[in-house]
Amino acid sequence: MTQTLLALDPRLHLLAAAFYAVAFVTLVIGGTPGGRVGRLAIPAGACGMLLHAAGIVARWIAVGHGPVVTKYENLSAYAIVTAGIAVYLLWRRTSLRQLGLILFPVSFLMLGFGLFSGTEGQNLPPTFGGIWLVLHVCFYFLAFSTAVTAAAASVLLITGKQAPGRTDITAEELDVAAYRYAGLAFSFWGIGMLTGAIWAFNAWGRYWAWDPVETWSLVTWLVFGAYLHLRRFYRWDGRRAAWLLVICFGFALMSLFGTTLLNNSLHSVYFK
Amino acid sequence: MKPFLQRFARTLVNRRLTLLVMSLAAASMLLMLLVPQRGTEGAASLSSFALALGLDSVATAWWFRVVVGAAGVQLLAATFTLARRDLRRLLRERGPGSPEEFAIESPSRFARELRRLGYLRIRRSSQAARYVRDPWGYAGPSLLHGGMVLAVCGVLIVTLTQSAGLIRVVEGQTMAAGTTLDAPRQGPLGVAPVLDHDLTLDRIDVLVWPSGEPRAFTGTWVLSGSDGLTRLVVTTNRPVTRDGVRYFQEQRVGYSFFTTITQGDVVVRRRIDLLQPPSSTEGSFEDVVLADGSVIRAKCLVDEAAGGQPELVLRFEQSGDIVAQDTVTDGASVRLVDMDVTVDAVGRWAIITIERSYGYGLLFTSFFVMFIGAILIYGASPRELTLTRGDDGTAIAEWHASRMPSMYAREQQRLRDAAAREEDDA
Repeated sequence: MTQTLLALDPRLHLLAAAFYAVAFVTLVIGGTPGGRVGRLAIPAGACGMLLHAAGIVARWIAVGHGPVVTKYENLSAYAIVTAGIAVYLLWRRTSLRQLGLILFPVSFLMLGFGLFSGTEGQNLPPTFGGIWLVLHVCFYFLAFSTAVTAAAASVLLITGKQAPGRTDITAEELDVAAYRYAGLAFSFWGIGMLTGAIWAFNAWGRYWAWDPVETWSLVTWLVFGAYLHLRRFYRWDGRRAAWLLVICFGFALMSLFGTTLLNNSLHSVYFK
Repeated sequence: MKPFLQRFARTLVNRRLTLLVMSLAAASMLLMLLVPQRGTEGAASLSSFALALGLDSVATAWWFRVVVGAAGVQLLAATFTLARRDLRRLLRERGPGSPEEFAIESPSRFARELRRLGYLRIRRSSQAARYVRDPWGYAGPSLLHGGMVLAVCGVLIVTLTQSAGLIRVVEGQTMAAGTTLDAPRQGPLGVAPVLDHDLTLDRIDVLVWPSGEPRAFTGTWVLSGSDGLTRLVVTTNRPVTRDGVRYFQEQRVGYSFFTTITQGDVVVRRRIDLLQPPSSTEGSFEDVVLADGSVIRAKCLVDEAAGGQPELVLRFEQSGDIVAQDTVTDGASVRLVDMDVTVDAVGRWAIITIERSYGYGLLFTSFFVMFIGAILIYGASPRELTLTRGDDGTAIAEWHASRMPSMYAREQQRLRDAAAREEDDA
């Protein structure tokens, strides 16, 4: 049973990636909003999510824990939440549907990197347990996905490019979307960091140790905070704010994926 | 004095200064990441100038503390400023004016729509009535910043009252009250990190995965003193608190091999502590340096899942060359060249962290305050509607969203439609 599920898991992930690619292609060639081809992006993205979720569940049953230990599991979880936002935007926030042009490829790439990094299961280390760990990782999944969405809006704003035939989104809407999702990312990031501090306290008897991952995380949060203050009080908007948000996203990427490569980080034990 | 304080408070919440302090804090932390910190590889190669500036230990450098302190004071000032502003906004007579005012031509329908959308009447006077949807959203910025202030206070209290350390104990061993803890951390107001009771490790239970990898460690510890015996069962990730002291079971657990090493006439008793092996096929290592400078590399192997007994693999090295290697278990002896090694006993050892700082309650409560603040800011943006009466007696509505108005354009349109519909129906 376990072996069957472990064998099934990467195949489901591969299929999910294929559906995300289909959703992206239908968005590119979809034509005008509400067009027949463009509308296919929603079922394609939803099917991808279903298969993706099935893959995660299969793996969960096989290895006995959620997607929190290996790089593959983490990337898979980041990818499904990102794809979830893309499908939500296509379905409920139609004016922001173009963000799917970036969110689906990001999910696709993360699944690709995850599958490439190895799908072997790993047991939970003794410190990996408790509700605070669950909250910690879940809020980081949300933080990353909302940060990707904000960065996607910024990139579209900077490049000024739209899908063929699409004129249904203004620069102002992209700007507001970037601001709002950056605010959500800031909040989720902060909560993820704080729940992580409580988990660390239970696991190691200290809430903060200036571990490289912790420090990068705090720097990222501060940089997002600076972005929000600049927008609110100095009325930064448009391309200038978009560039700053792309830089903030660079910090988030370094914090979540770059620091796990550092040998002197406590977290690097888990994600390699 | 008062104008001076007001000027000082205004300076503290100056936006440029806020951004400057945030940038300085972020830059200091980047230094922490880029410059090798004390105890890490490369720290020894730092120049004397860098050492004088404390770049090898940014977190404890005076200038970093100044930046963090400045940020704390700024946060406090900002919280008061925001709280006053938000309270004023909540209780004001009428909302901000809007260039897109609209007439209420269907009062009853409009009132129903207001109720349906959840607008609450906050103020009413002869000139105007003010309705707000999600008025609690005004508390968001104050709560977020106030939560941060609480967090800073919590960190300050924890740091000042800190008293923590750890101790390694073998099963059956008792450490006497008054023993100083290892790796001590003591704040200026913290009590000395010493044992206040006799501490005995009764047993340590290791739960393993089928592969032999450790899954959880549960230590049964006994505290004894004038007030009797107390048994504490502490599992990794599940600390236990007793009389304000918190006990954390570390995941650093392993086997102690009590050995007698006989080399000619010299008999030495050595306790070799090895970490719990990472799995049933991998060992944990430790180098044992003998009096003559030669090295025995000790490796611990155990198949916990199968209930196996720990084995000690000894490799005798001289001048970097492997001279001999053999495996020995509890009660057995082995000869390595001119040396006899006997394992007299084997027992488990474990490390427990003992911590009695104050302020964690405040610190962790602050997290929830921040959480609520963040949710209110981004999930409950207040929308205001002020109703006034025009010169001809018609009610005029002015709608305003305090944050990201374009997100609520549809809601504004619903209100406009409800206000205008009576005419359409007619």
